[in-house]
Parts: sequence; structure tokens; C-alpha cells
Amino acid sequence: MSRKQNQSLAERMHAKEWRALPQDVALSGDTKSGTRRLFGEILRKFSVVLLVGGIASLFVYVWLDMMSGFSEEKSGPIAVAFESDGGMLDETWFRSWTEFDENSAPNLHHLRDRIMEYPQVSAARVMRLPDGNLRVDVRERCPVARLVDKEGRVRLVATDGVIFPSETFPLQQSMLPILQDVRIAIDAKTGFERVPAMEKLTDFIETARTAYGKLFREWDTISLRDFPSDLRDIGHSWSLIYVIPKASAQNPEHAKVVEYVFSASRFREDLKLLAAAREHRTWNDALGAPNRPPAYRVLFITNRKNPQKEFREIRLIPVQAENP
Amino acid sequence: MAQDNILAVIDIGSAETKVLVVDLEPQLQVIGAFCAKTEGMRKGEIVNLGALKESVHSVIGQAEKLAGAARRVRGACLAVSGALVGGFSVKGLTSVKSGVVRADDKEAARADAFDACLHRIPENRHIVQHMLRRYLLDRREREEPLGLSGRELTYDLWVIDADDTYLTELYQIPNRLGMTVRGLFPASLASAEAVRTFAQIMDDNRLVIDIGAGTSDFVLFRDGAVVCTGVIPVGGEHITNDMSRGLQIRMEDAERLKIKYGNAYARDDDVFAEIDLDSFEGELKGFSKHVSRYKMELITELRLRELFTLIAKKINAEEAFSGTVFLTGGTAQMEGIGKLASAIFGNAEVRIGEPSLSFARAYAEPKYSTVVGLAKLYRDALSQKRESSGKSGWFRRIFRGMF
Amino acid sequence: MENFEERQSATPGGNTAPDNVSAGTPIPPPLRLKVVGVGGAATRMVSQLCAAKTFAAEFVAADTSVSELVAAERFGVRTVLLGENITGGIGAGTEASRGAAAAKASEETLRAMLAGTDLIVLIASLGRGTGSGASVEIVNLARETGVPSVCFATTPFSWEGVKSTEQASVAIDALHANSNAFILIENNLIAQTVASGGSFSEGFKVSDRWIESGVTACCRMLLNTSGRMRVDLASFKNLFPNVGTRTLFSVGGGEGGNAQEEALTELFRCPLLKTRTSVASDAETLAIHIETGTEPPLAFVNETVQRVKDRFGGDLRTLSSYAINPSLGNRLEICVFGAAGLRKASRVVHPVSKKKKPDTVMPGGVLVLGADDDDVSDGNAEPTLALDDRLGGFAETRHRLFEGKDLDTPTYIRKQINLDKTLAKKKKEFGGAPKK
Repeated sequence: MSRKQNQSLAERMHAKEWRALPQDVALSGDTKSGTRRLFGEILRKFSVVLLVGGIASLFVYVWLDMMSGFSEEKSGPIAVAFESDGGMLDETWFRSWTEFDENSAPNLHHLRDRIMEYPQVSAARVMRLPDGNLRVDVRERCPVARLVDKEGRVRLVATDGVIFPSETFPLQQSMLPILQDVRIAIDAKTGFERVPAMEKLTDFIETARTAYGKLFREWDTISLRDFPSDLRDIGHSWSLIYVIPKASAQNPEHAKVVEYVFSASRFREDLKLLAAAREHRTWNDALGAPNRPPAYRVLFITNRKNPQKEFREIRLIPVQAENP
Repeated sequence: MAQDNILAVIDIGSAETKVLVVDLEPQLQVIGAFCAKTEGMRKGEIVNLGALKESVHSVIGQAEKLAGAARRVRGACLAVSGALVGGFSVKGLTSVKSGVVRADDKEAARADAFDACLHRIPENRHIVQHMLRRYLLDRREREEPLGLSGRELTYDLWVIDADDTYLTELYQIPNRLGMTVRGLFPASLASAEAVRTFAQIMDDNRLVIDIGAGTSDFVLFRDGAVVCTGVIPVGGEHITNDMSRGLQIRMEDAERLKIKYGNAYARDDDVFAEIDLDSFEGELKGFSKHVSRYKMELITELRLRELFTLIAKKINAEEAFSGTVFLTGGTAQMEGIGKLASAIFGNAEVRIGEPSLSFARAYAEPKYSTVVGLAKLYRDALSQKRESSGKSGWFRRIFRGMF
Repeated sequence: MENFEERQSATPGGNTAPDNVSAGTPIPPPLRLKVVGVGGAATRMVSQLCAAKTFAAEFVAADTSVSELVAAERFGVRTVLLGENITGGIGAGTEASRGAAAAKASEETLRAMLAGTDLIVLIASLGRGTGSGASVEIVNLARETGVPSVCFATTPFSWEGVKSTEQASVAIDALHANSNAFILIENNLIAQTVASGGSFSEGFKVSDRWIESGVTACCRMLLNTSGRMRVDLASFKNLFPNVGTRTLFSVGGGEGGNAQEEALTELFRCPLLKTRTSVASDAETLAIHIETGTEPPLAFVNETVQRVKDRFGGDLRTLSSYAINPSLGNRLEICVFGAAGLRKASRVVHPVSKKKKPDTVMPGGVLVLGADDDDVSDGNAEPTLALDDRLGGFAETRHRLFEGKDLDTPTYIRKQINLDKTLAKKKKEFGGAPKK
């Protein structure tokens, strides 16, 4: 018999077998056990749906909550509790900077984004309180130096190098040294202008300010013309920090030091030396000696005469007086 | 899915429903079982589908519970029996083309037998199982005709079929509980399978009779292969009914009488003996409280004699029988039944069998014969299917991909 | 329409006009009963009844065989020849289909016969052609024309063959489904009665007697004027309002001093209570007919009726009638009709929809309407008194013949073995005294 005939025979046989009779497999509640089982199935499915739905709705709730405020909740103007750990920024700044409308539902994300746009703010958190009011917590950047541009506008430099406007800062800025010859980079992440490799400089400034306050008070400007923009180059011998002291009227007979040249990497030693030298009688004698040149530059160099014993020494180098 | 390995094997008897929950992988193992009274089935036929569903569902539920809390079984295997199940034989004929029988000759004979079967089977019935009885080469019986020379090859097929309505109603029972019917076997073959190893002789002539409450299923084996199957819709209930009418007592009393004092032979010793029914509860004025033992035994003997004679007639129509007779089922426990059967089957050796398959040692009672055998049959069929599709299946699949 | 006087004189020993009827009151029309016998044995029985002249009704014999009819005519029975074109007057043989066809062919004649009948008592001998085939048609016709029918049917012995049994079985279903009261007389049961002796014809006499008693009682109940209580047709019709109900029928008789006890015992033990279509207890309606030879004491009738009611039910309605028949002497005969299953919905037959069993058309064109299985009384759920269930637990199953054998009836009945007699024989064998 041909294969086709065989096939049709096989098909016909199959059609006549008990399996060919249709089975309507469905859990129905005909009997007590059946209803119990059906009930159990329904309950199971229902509870799964409930669980999934519950979780999903929870997510949706949270998301919605974050995206938009719930205008139904608070009637009336929304109060803001503003906290800043730096103490410089306040609610007035917040309201003006974010153009906060207390009568409409705030979008917490937008508010936070706007706050972060201000470079003085290093971190911010905007929360919705249970009673409907807002709470804003802000962490500020701490300035360590000043920048004065051609127009005379003063901006501040924070410890991480970010440059921010000084409007919100009180006027006791004179404590902060001015930075010169700064290469300003644009931070890729935040878009802020920042001073590269500021950490080392901050370290230097803070060390000077805290440990050698007397010296620090005389400083006026710090030039960064030989200061590397990459922290990896700090160790090089040519990485230098130039500090220009204020024109001090303290000791007119003394010659003036016009510049200190610190090593970017070994400034601690240098500062220590300087502090020690200043106490020493020889310093004053050198500066107060007759027929002295009017200006000196202070250098710190490593004496390598004895290779086994390298030491750092301080040198006073006279400088041709500049034209007044 | 792990769930697919669990099956509920259900034997819906006229008196009791037995359910085994079995684990098919890696080896057949019974993990839960339950047995309870059946409502709504008599003589192997469904009389009240609602009540039957109710009782079977509760049994399945209990068995599942015993099998383990979280398991919900989705597959079921059933046994069919009763007056609506029948068997017949068809012969397929082909002429041997080359004078020597080859594989395609066998195929042709088989196809012809199938064709004949399809013609013979009525519209309203479906096939439950079919099996090769024997090959005949030029009218002489041959176990394996391949390679032998001859002119005409006959394929003798035995077909077991059942009524559509009965099957559909039967399917409804597990379906309504969310279970698919995965296997269906005749109860006679199932019982025979269960007592097979009891015999410990595989290749011989055997007649296995399962005398249940509503039906008696029998299978005749010759040299280990099925020759004939059948169902007589007479069972223990009929004996009880006969007793009830003949002795004018209630059915429950008749049932208890049968179990306690039943004997297949009307014994001549002490025909005056009477059994006092006062020991059973219930008394009704005007009706017998004492029944003659002889009368009771006579009734039983007549009925059983008739049953065995009917079976003998049916098998003798197919084959002359000489071999061992195995009796199983609840009614086979009656005293003297072995002797009676032996007398009617030409003094053959008669043994009363119990299921003795390894995986169901806890269920070695005769009433579990069918359900235990059913599990075994299903498992065997499953592994056979895997074998046959495994080897040639992938090959065929590749070929099919090529064309 | 014959007038009353004429009819009176025409029927011997029939109704006597009541004395107190004055000229002004309308005289109720006499009851028109027809006793119809279908099939050979039935026609003979009808002839006998006609000859006995115990009551006034019209006797009709319907058959396909001319010879039978001729024999019947001699007794004064009206005859109807069925299907002379089909069977040629020689009989329908063993084919029920031919009998049915013959009846269909003579439909007009049958309708004419049925017209103007208040109640038809049909006697049918099932198994062979005419009895099995034609009787079904006649009952159908009676139902169509609205004539209530009481049907007595006899079934063949088991040894008469598979075909007889099968045809009879089919006919039983059909007849039961379409008659108001159906009484099945299984010949197999004859062997069970104590009274039967060894001879074959004696056995037949028993079944004849049953039918005779039944028909006579039925008719006398309705036509009774000689007794005190009487059942009128309307009440009788109310006993069997629907077709297809299970009918209770029993007869019993006794004589002598203990006549009442004897009669009641026989009544309660009658094998006719245990046939497939009958009910043995809890009949909702009952009709009891008592006949005595002499005037009974007052309490007697009450007591008998009460005991019958105790046994058979009759809660819904019980009618009793009793008649004095001098020819009985000191004999007492009781006959009970009853119906069960009326409280449930009308038993107009329809296939059980759940099982989707269509009306099967059996070969021969006889339509078998499945019995209404839903209604079956809760056979084996009864805690008490499930005693005389006709089939015990098998009441609910569809009646099926296994290769021509009715395996549900007990084997000893089918093999005509009388248990008591066998036991007695055995006891005699082993001596008379009980050994303990």
C-alpha cells in the first residue's frame, strides 16, 4: 500500500480511537470537591494578581509621588523649611533662585535640579513633609580662595575647585587669598567652572591658614602659573605655588618679600622652614641689613650637595625692584 | 513540568472507587491512595452521573491530600468495563508477493486488518485498544512469519471497543475536576496485568477473571499473548440481589450474609442448617429471620455457575482453553469458588490471585487489582512510546527538515 | 345509541337498574368496557372470559390469524382481523415488525373499535409476532384517542428462545410507556408459586388464573352493582392518571376458616409484585377489590383493607370495592391494583436528556421510548422495606439483555427452579428430622 494510503488509514484509525473523543477539561463546580478546588484555584489566582498588582501599584504610587505633588493634600500656601549646612544660603535665595510658587504643586525633581544648578550647592535634598510643606536640605561648598576678573567681579573658589558667585557670601572675604593665572576648566559633569587640581591647593591653603596663621594673614595673592592642572604632575619639581604677600606697612625698615615660591608637593616642609626662619634672628638681620636690596624673593630648594643627606633650605634671592 | 509526572489512576467500580496517585518518574511509585464507596454506578454502567461525579471527585480529592498537600494532579488514567465495552476480532489478509514474508507484507496484512476493523466497528463506538493475536501463514499459526515462505499472510487482530456515550460520560468525571484523561485501558487487561507476576510464569495459557461487584472482566492468554477479552455484566451485586429476592431479606442483610457465609457450592451436608439473621440488625414483622443455608448456597451456586458457563462459552468460541484460571476481585474471595470454576473449566487449575506488583506492595488486596494493573499498563505504554519515538523520532525529524 | 332498556336485556346477568331511580333523574350511561386480546394465547383467554360471563363488557379478539379468530367467535367474541393484506390471514409468525405493520394497516378498524370506549383492558401474549407487534400499536392508538388502557402482558419462558425474549422485552417497554396501568405476567415466575404442580398445563393455568382474576376484578370493580362499595370510572381513572406509571397488581385467595389469612398471605407473596415493571410497596394509589361468597362481617372488610394498605401503601388515595359472588362459596378473593410514582412529574415518556439517549428505533419499526429513569424510586437507598424490590439494586439501570439473556433477574427464576421445593426435596432425602 502506498504511503499516502497508509497515512490515511493511520489517520482513520486514530480518529476511531478513544483519544479522538473530545475532552472538555475545565474545572467546574459540579461537585463539592470540584467547587472546593475551583474556589482554591480562583483564590490562588486572585491572590497572585493581588500581590502583583499591589507591588505594581506601590511602585506607581512612589513614582507619582516623586514626579508630581499631590495637590489634593495641601490646601493653602506651602511653607518651606530651608536648611543649609554651610549657613550661607537661605530661604530667600531659594525662593528667588528657584522662583518658587508656594501656591502650586511643586515638582520635587525640578526643584532639586534647579537648586543644583547653583554652583555653591554641592548637594541638595527636597522632601515633601506629611503636612504638605516642603523641606529643603542643602550642602554648600566652602570657599578657600577668590577670583577677581578683569571687570572686578569677585567669584569664590570652593575646596573642590568649583567657582561660584560670591553674592551670597558675606563680605569678610578678605581672608581668602586671591588666585591668579588660573586655568579654568569646565567640569564635564556639572558644567561648572572649576579650577583643576584644586585639592592640593586647598590642602596648601588650609595648612597655611590653620598651622601657620601668622604667615597666612600676610598673603594676598596666589599665582598658579606653574601649578599643574593634573594632580599627577604635582610631584614634579617645576610644580610651584607662588604666593605674593600683601603690601604690609608693618615694618617699613625691612626689605620686602615680594614672592614666596613654594613647592606644590613639599610645601609643608617649606612652610615649616619659613616659619622657623621668620623666628630666627638671621631673617630679620638679613632683611634689615643696611645696603640691602629693597626686594627679595624667597625660594625653597633642595640642597643636594651631599647626596646622602638631602635637605630643604630657604634662600632669599634679591629681586630687581619694580617700577612703582 | 514536574506536575506532568504525577498521574491519578482511577478505577470506578460499581461498589467502590479506588484512586492511586502515582509518580511516573523515574520509576513507578505510589504516593497516595484512597478508596471509597461509589454512588451512581451499577453493573459497570453509569446510572446517575451527578452522584457518581460527586463520589469520585471526593475520592480523588482525598487521594491527592494523602499524596501531599500542594500537589494538584492534572492527568488521569481510567479503566473501562461494563456491558458497553465489547471485543471482536478481525482478520486482515494479504498475499505474500515474493513468496517469502517480508516486513512490508506484515505491514500490508496489518493495514488490511485495520481497514476491516474500521469497517466493522459501529458508528457510535470508539476503539479502546487493539492488539495482534497471531499471524497465520497459509492458515497455519506462526509466531513470527518473517522470512518464512508462504502464499497468504493473515493478521489476526483483536479489538476492544466501547460505546461513545459511555466514554464521553466517563471522561466528564475527571475533566470536570480539571484533569485530562491520558490513558484508558480495559479493566480486564489491567487486572490481568496486576496478577501476572503472581503466577510467576509468563508464557503460558491463562484465563484471568476479575469478578467485581457489578461486572466480571476476563482475559484469555495463550503463550502469554492476549487471545480474547470480554466483560459479563454480572458480579457480586447479582449474587446479593438473588439472595435478597430468593430468601426474602433485605439487600444489606443479603450482602452481609454473602460475605460471612457465602459458599459457591450448595453443600449437601446438613441441609437443615439455618442461619439466624437476628445477629444482623433489623427485623421486620412477617419476614424471615431464619434463612436456610442450603437455599442460600444454592442461589449462589446457580448464579456463579451461570457466570462461569457464560465465560466458558465466550472463550471457547475463540479458542479451546487449557491452562490455569486466575480469579481475582472481591467476589473471588468466596469459599468454594475455585472448585466451582475448576469444575466448569474442564478441571483446570484455579488460583485465587492478588495484585503483586513491586511498586504497590501496600495494596495487595484483590479489590486493588484493576487500579494497580492500570498504573503498570500506563507506565509501560509510556516507556514504549518514548522508546519508539526516541530512536526513530529524531531521524524522521531531520529528514522532514530536509524535504 | 342503544337505549338503556335494550341494553339491559341484551347483556345477560348484567346491570340491574337501581330501584330507586325515578323517572325524572337522568340515568347515567352504562360503562363501556372493552376487553381486547391480542395474539394467540390472549384471544383464547378472552374467549374464556367471555364464556364465563362474569361481567358485562365487550370482548374483542384481535389477531392476524383467521383460524384463531374463528375459534374465538364461537364464544361470542367480536373479532378484528389485522392486516389481511400483509399477512394474508395466516398470522404474523415470529416477527414483531409484521405484527406491527398488520396493526397499522388495520388502523381504521381499530379506531372504530376503540371509539365509544371508556376503558380498554388489553391482554397481550408477548414473544411472537402479533402479540409483540400489534399490541404496541393498539395501545398507542388508544393513547392517541384518549382511551385509558389497562394492559396485561405475558412474557415467554426463557427456553422459548433469545428472539422471543428480546421482542418481548422491547414490547414491554413500549407497552408500559403508553398504558395507564401495565401488569406484567412473567411466565418464568410461575415456577415460583407454591401452588404449581409438576405439569406444564397446570403452570399455564396459574398464569391464566392471574389474568382472569385481574381482568375480572378490574371490570367488576367498575361495573359492580351487587356489592356495597363501588369504584366508578372517574375514580379509577384517577388512580392511573398518567401513562407509564409503575403498577402494583396482586391477587390472592383463600378458603375455609382461615380464608382471610390465607388470602392475604397469597396476596402479599404473589410473584407478580416482583416483575420488572411493577412496584411492590409504597404505591400511592390503591384499588382493592374483595369478593366473597357470603355476606362478610362488618369489621372484616375494614380490617382487610387496612392490612392491605399497611402493606402496599395507598397514602394518596385508596378505593375499595367488594362484591358478593355466591358461586365462590366460602372462598375469599382479593385483588389489588395500585400505582406508584405519581407524585413526581408527569411520567410522559421522554428520553433522559442527560444521557442523550435518542429514541431508538428497534429493527422492525417498533419505536422504543426509553423508560423515564429519572423517576425511579430510590431502590436501594431505602433503609427499610427494600424487601420486595422487583429488581433490588438494578432498578435504575437500563434494562439490557446480554446476548438474549436477562441477567438481572435471578438465575434461579430464569431456570425455573423453585427453591423451596428443592430444599424440601433435599430435606426428604436426608430424613425428616433436623440434624443439629
